[in-house]
Amino acid sequence: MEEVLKLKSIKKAIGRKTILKKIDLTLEKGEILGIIGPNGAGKSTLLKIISGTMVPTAGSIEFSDRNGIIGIVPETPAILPSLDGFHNLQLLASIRGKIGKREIKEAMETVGLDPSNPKPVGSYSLGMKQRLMLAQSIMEKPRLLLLDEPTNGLDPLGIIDLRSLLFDLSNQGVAVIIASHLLREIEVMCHRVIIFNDGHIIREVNLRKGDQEFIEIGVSGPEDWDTLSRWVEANDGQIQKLPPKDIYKGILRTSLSIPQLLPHLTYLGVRVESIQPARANLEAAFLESAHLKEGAYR
Amino acid sequence: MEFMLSAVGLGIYLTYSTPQRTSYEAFSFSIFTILPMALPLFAALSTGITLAEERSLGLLPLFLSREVSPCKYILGKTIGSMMAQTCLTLGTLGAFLLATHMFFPAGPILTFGATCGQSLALENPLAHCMASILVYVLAALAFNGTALFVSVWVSNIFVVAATPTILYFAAFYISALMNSNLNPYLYLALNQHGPSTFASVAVYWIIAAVFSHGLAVLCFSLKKNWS
Repeated sequence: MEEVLKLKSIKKAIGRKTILKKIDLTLEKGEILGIIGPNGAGKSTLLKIISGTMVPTAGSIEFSDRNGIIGIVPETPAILPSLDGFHNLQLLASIRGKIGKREIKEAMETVGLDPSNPKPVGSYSLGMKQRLMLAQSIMEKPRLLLLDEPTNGLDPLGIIDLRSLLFDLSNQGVAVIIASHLLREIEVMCHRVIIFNDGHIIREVNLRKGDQEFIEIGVSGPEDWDTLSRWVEANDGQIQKLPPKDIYKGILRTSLSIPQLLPHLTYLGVRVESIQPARANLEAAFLESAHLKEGAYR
Repeated sequence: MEFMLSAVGLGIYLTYSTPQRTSYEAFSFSIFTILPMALPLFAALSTGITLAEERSLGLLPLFLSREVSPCKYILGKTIGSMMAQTCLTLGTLGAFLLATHMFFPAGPILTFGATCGQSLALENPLAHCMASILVYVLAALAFNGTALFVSVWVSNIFVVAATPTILYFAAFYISALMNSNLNPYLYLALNQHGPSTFASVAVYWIIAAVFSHGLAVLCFSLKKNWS
């Protein structure tokens, strides 16, 4: 797959505080990458560095296409409140001067806004402002889209529209990075998720369908867990134990589906107590990863 | 606003006695009485807050992600605000000068001219008024630059608008305490304690304007975070 973006050893320190500690990341064409993490983990800082709003202290950012356009949706809608939606976008489009009125109108219609609405943007609801931000981010046909909390203020229909828009863009080859607190949305929208904490990537979860299966599995005792772990290692899989320590439950990453896996476990004598697809268990992975200092989640 | 305050100055002028009331004298009295106090605030409020406004609206990331370099952005902002401030001050004071002709006849400035241009006030009062306008344009540019410089770090519009006034009065107070000739008030009021020539006044404000704008451009370009 063609790489759109490559981050090499990105570090960012502000004063004495280190916000990002050696981030390495690549993004493929058409990939939707989710970034989750506790408040202050460095998610927004990373997006700002990629978009050019912030300079990293160390490291490099490589874009596959030097002229590749980046679209961004900032955390809070950035608008000129006295202008209507169309003129806000026209003003931004005039900076690059690559698109005309037709493309602006198309982008507004794509996100469900009426380009002929004469109301000043200051009177828009938060959801409408967020839709306008989405429109400005896609109007110039970017190759990379950076979304910081894009579902902020969106109603359920808006969230569904966003999801379908992102899938469409992904199919057109646009790479997307989404930073969000909404695990469920990230889980549904993204192909891959990185969990951020304390300035570094502490875990990466691949959610692509048909790539590898994520299975949540619980076994009876420590011997069963050991047997399972050895078998997983021998078969190019990965298993990550979930807390607490005395319950033998984990997320198994394997190329096998549950019906394919079960005969192997029966043959090994592993006593399985529970087994289910773990796609919906990003929350568990996040909680496990976010388990921080002094027993408190941050 | 500047125009209205100058008009108030015109009202005050009528309460003072002078051998001959002329339009040029009315103009000089009005601007030298009121504007030395109000110019820093007007200059900052009218054009100096543009960067802070865009920062507080969160527009900077949208501009910078569209391949506008920080240096180009701040240069554009600086040149734009300087041109706007020049037009605004020049236009307002020019219009006020014209307006004074509606109430008074043209004639020499006998009493209330700038001390540094006394001979000009008597012999060529129009040139005296034009020189005064030029001084105020340059001073307004210096205050505009101060507000831009503050906006590099502060996005609160009220703080940015108030800072040039606060710095101006602080400089006034400190200079008065130290008996310094660099008191900015003296370079606007142009009274008997002030500088001796219009040229020295102009140089003072040109240095202040270039320094404040240059510093704003330099600091903004060297910043590491523009969000």
